[in-house]
Amino acid sequence: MTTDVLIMRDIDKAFNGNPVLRHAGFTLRKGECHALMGENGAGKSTLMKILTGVYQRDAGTVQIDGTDVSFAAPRDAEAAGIAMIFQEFSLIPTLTVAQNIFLGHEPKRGNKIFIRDAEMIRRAHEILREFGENIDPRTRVEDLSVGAKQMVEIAKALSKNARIIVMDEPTASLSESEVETLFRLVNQLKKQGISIVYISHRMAEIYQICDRITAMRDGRDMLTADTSDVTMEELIRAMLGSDRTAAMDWIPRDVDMTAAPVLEVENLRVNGYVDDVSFDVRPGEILGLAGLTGSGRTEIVEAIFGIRQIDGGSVRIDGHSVRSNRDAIEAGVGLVPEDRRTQGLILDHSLRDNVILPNLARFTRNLFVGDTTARAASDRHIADLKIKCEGPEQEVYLLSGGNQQKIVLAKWLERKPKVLILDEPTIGVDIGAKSELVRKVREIADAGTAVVVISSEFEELLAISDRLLIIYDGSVIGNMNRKDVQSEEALHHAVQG
Amino acid sequence: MQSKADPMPQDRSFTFGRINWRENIVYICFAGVLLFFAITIGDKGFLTVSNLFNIARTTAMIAVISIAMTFIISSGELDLSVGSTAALAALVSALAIQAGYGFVGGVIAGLLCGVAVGLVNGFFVTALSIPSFLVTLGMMQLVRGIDMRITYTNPVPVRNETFDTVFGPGTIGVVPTLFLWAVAVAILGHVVLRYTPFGRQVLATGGNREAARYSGINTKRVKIICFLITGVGAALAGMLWTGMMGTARYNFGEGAELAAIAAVILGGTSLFGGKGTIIGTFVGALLIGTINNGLIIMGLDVSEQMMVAGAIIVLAVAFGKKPSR
Repeated sequence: MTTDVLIMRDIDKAFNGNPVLRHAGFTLRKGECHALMGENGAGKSTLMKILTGVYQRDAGTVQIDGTDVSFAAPRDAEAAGIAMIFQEFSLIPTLTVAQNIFLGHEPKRGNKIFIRDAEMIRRAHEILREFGENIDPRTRVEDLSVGAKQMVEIAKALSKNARIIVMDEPTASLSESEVETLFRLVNQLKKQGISIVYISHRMAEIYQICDRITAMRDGRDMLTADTSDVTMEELIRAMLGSDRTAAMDWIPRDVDMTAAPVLEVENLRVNGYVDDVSFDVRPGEILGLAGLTGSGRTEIVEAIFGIRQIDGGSVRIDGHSVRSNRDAIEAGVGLVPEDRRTQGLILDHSLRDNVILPNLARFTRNLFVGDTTARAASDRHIADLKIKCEGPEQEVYLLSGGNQQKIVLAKWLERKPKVLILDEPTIGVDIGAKSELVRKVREIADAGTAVVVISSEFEELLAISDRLLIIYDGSVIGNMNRKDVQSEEALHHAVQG
Repeated sequence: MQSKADPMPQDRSFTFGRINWRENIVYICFAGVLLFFAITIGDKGFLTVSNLFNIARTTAMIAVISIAMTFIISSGELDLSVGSTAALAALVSALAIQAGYGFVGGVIAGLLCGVAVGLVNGFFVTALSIPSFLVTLGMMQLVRGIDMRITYTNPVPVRNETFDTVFGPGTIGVVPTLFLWAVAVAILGHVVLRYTPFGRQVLATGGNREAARYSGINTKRVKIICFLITGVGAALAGMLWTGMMGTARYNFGEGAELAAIAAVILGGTSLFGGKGTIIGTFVGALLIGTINNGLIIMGLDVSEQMMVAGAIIVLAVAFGKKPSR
């Protein structure tokens, strides 16, 4: 006999008039591990943020143990026994494990003022021992491994008597043995009657650990089934659907594959992330790197850009070895980094100041930066990339995500790069700006630039790539021409290893 | 889901007509303070040319330090060791002159003190990633200790005509030499911060170190150079102090680091880096000097001066605060 601890029905949610959830539903049974899947933007995170009280729903009902609930704040959800384990851990690194676990609800002495330290450590120890984890509650969190931090995060949830735990991509940064430990723990939690929502893109893991699966697409739940009753193909189809936009259609391009490669990567190694990766890219070619989050994609391109230390192998541009960030930039490599807000832009500065940043030497005449030429160059990029802004002097934090991303692109286009690398270029970018970017990348490649693109959105990757490398666990496990990839489903299959 | 549609925040800085009060708070304050003193104590000598030049002369050292400080703060760091470095440079240059190395030898010796302290600060902050607040707090003490030990707190008189002419309390035409130094440093600082690639690198490093790094900027090098700038700026200020007094003393520049930080922030530079203005800093330093001068003429004692000056700084910074977003 199974009981539903959580029933979410007909949930609607819109941001600025854009519907993100449309009649989405989700049910969770007592003691099950339930996978929640979907592409980026399908609505999984929004649905879970409504469950945990971060967002408020526009319509629909949420029932916990058969009673209607409505959470105005995360605190309310926490009181109802719902906890979320985030990808970025919410622990305070300078406090000890025990202090973190009991943060805000420390066991107190009779006078309700002083903390009972020994009691707190004893209880933290008890919870951790139940996991079979040998973590000293007196260790500081900053000294723990990623896996251990996650254990502490889960222990923190349990100390608040959580009955529903939402895990968002819990294995993205874990080692293999840490994943095993996590799975043991998940099974143990299930036995205790705790229900788990498991958000992940990794199907192998989902089939291994989850009892049921719900797949979402475009703000709706498309499929809910027992894991044993649904094949990977059915699952991928449910997530992708068939309503694809024309902008994301593949346009075959002619690339001279006999030309000498402009970028050559040989036996590249970055300890802990990248293992013996080799590939090359020709002028005018668009190479897509497909892989799951944490597969080493970003580390590969950061090593090429010289901003991440290489532990072995070589990177060559036009046959010349590149050893540092400076070498790479001077040789003509540009990187549009993964996180536009922290790595790509200085948000408080103007569009113009951001565009000229990697190009200061080019804009300098007689010791001084030429503001007039910089403004003219910015105006050119604004027109060329159709950046919506008031002008080159506008501060970039005032612009939308898509327009910000175009500015990061402009920074490197200004250098007329030989190799342009784009890491997740369309995250947080609306569909209009997205197709704009796709069109622009094709145009850049047509002009002879070698382009390397990383994207978690395979639709987009398939739309622009001439060739695809499949990255799994730090290695290249596949190298295929775009025309040999039959479907998005096939690519989803391939990256699962 | 990644933020579906990034919201378009509105700039909520309050404007009146075409004047942006927030960005220009230091000029408004300065004008207001001048007007206030002119009305209340204009007839007690505040408005005389000699008093105004007196303000300019006594403010010069803090102004020079503040201008150098604008660079390090714009790069996202802080330098608390400037006051003790000024005294070190003052003493070492005076001793060098006393020992017969002459004016040029003395000045070089003094400036090298600034370079040395700057390099030590820069090394610990960049190579060992220790917060600049801690490194320079320690260096402030350490260098002040050296200052006291060098001459066992005895003053070192400087008898050198060139030194007196270049750094002394005299005037060129009618303008005090010391003030001309401050103006020259301000112009140089303004040009470097505003118009050179290095200036852009400083602001970029302070605005977002990661993004600067991903744009190919060597942010560690930028920070080391900024520490050299504060070291050398402080050394110059130390020699100006010697020039004004005719004697180098171990206690030159006590509290100068805080006055300089106040001038920089009042001027409109962000304490967190990324936004910096030398002209604002210069006016900020003049504002602090003017307040001190006016309060003395009004007959307030030291305790009252400190209370009023402190309150004005807090209020000005509160009004100039950027709206949170």
